[in-house]
Amino acid sequence: MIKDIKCNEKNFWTKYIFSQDHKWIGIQYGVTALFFMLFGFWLMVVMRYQMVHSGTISPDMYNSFGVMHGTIMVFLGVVPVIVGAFGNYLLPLQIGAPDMAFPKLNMASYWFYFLGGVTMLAGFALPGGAANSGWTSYPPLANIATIGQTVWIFGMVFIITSSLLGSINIIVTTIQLRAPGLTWMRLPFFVWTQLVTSFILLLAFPPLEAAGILQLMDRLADTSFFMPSGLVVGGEVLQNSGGGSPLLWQHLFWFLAHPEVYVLILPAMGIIAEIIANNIRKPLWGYSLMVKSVLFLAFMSFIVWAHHMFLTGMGQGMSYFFAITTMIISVPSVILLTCFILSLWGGSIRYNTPMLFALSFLPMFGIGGLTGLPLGLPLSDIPLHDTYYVIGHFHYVVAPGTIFAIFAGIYFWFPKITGKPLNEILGKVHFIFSFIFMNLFFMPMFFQGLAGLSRRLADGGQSYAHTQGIVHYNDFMMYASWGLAIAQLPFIINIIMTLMKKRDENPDSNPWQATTLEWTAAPSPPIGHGNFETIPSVYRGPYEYSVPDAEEDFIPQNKN
Amino acid sequence: MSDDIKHHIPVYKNVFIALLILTACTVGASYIHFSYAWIGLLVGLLIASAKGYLVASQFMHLNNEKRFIYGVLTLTVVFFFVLLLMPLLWDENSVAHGNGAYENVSHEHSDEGHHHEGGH
Amino acid sequence: MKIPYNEDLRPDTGLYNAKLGIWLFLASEVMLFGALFSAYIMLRSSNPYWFDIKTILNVPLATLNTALLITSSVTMVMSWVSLKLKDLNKFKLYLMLTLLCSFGFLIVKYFEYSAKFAHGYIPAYSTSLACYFTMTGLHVLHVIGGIIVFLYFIGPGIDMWNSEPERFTNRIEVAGLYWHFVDLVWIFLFPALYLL
Repeated sequence: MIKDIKCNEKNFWTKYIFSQDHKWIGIQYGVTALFFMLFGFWLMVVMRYQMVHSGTISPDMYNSFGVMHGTIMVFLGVVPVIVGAFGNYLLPLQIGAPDMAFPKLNMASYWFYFLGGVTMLAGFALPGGAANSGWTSYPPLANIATIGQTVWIFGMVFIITSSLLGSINIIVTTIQLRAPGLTWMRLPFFVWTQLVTSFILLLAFPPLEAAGILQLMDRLADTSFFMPSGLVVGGEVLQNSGGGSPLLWQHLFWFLAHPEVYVLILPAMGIIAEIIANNIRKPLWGYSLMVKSVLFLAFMSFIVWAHHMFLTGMGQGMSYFFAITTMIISVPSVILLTCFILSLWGGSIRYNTPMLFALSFLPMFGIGGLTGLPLGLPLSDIPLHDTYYVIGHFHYVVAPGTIFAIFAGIYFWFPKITGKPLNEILGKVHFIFSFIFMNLFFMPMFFQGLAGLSRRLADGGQSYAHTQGIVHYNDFMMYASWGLAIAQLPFIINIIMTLMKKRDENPDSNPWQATTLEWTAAPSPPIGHGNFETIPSVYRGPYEYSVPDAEEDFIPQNKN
Repeated sequence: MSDDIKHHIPVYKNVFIALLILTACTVGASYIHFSYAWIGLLVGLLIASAKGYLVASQFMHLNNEKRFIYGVLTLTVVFFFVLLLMPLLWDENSVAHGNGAYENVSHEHSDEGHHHEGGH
Repeated sequence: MKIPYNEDLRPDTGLYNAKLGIWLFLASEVMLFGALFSAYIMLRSSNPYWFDIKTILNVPLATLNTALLITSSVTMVMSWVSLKLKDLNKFKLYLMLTLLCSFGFLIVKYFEYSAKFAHGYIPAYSTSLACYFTMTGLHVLHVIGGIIVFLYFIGPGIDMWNSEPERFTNRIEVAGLYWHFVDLVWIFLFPALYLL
């Protein structure tokens, strides 16, 4: 027993609201984020309805919904789930640590996130509605927009603060608190992705914070960081000092926002890695290659950002530079996908719910990634930029990509977190219908984009002649969105049902027969203060499945 | 260990004096009219970097830290320069492509500043 | 439940947790101020009608401010050294001197800003002034943050010296690292805005 496990008397506030236990904080993040995601999903359903039945909501409200759908899904939904929930909950367990390195900071980072979320949503209640200048918030439009935009910026500042505190925590925890024997190349791939993601967040978010400060100055103090001279608004020349550069905002924004997309995908790949290795009963193919690819990918992600700006009139030199770096960055992504696929060869594949989601991630991410290639080359980007092709591309990566990884992770780790497994039949129903409707919903977007249908059109493009051949897909997609919504019901019912069930007296702490420390050294759920009866020592790598001459088809990491 | 610390005290005092001298240098250098604008920029940057190096290595004990800190910082410095240089190289009419950096800069030429009619 | 390596050094990194944490935080701050410097460079290099603020800025005052911050950096490191040498009174003296210099910096900044505002030189006047106010303003916020931390350490926080002296010393070292960074930012801000 660890000698000084001393749990001070905790009252309701310090145990459940201002908890410093990484497990509870992880659950706080997860529950909050899933509710935000549900709200963001509903915004999209309304938008899809408006695109078919134009006039349901005003164009301004449609724009607000668009901004908030994107912002909520990315910053209040997906990242808090994969980093704040999965990262916080699993990281200390997987490295054999009693908690994160800075428990108070952890608590603060959740509450900053919550505060940021509430601030953002408050925009809906303000005159003029929530922010409506695109999630990218480009000036000059964003500078002259209604007050909802100011609130959006403040919300972003809180969220960025939360993210910075969280990344520092994850990096220090991973470097300093690894259990004895847990060397770098014995780390579960999930831990590598969390570490790299945190470095990306640490270094990429501050320029957006700086940009937010500058935009606040422009909106509140009448400065002209982003306002060019002689701008005419509503028929009148704007009386400001001018001399600013709207392009400057784009640089600072995309300097974050490109690495941000790798933040969206890397932890998802980490989740997939754990589930695939476990359900093929053999080690991942190319673990060391995958680690190097992830490191290289993170580095490259900082020097590709202007491929979002090919249409701003940049010089040829810059164009070449960013096109080349963008092509190079596709290499590590392909390596990662290939390693996953090669791992399947010769495996004893178990088709449980988490594995079904994990397997489907692979072709979905493949489609998302491949459709990015024409966008990364300046010439082919010209007709595709700001069309539905882009929306199809990135949604394929995040929706049937990352979100499927989130589902996979929830089904996989639910028994560890609660001591009760989710129902497999409901899980498989959830999977099959989500998979079908995701594809029915997002695939038509490519055809619409290739035909030239622009993004962010409140009427869905009905008023344009060149879209008449593909605008009918909007009806189809509206129905698909309803199907996708209904497909989530088995999932929600499953969770509520399972939570209400009574836990077995001695729940199986390793129902998936996994090798990593959270399964092999901690009970289900893990011990409230300290996670483990004793801090484990690690003797082997993370994926020792089907080792020849072993008693069972897996050897735990902490088995001598 | 405490002797080790005691030996550092004179070092701190010397660094203090060096920093004050370098500050005087940088102010003095700003009054010199260099033949090209970019020389003035370079001199200013070099002096600031020298001061920064002294603070980082001596006051922040960077030269005593192990690899990890160096690694984090090197990474940050690389990205910092990327962020700094990109906007300069972006526009082919900008200073970094030689438009304006090679002119004789005179300090009397300061602008009228703010115009209310249409703004500058 | 004890978190490992809170005070003792992890052998392979040679660090205690908070020291790694503060350096990571400083890395993010480098990117924050770096982005502002980058914005300043981009705005200035692309604007042929840049209002040269050198003509209205007070270089002697700013030089005094530079000297004050440099002094405060020295006194800060000396306060940490005093703790290492187990001299609490010297620690208090040096921390007070650090506070004095920082307040001095703020007072000078107050006079600078109010003089500008009195002449109508507000951020909205020109983009160059906007840059000046934003960058020095953010820096001032960081100075105030440091002051709050120092006030805590010289006030209620000093009790930790009696119960956990090593942990307290580490806290001062970490605060010192933050403060040196604030000084470092000014070392680059001063020539960039006032001299070049």
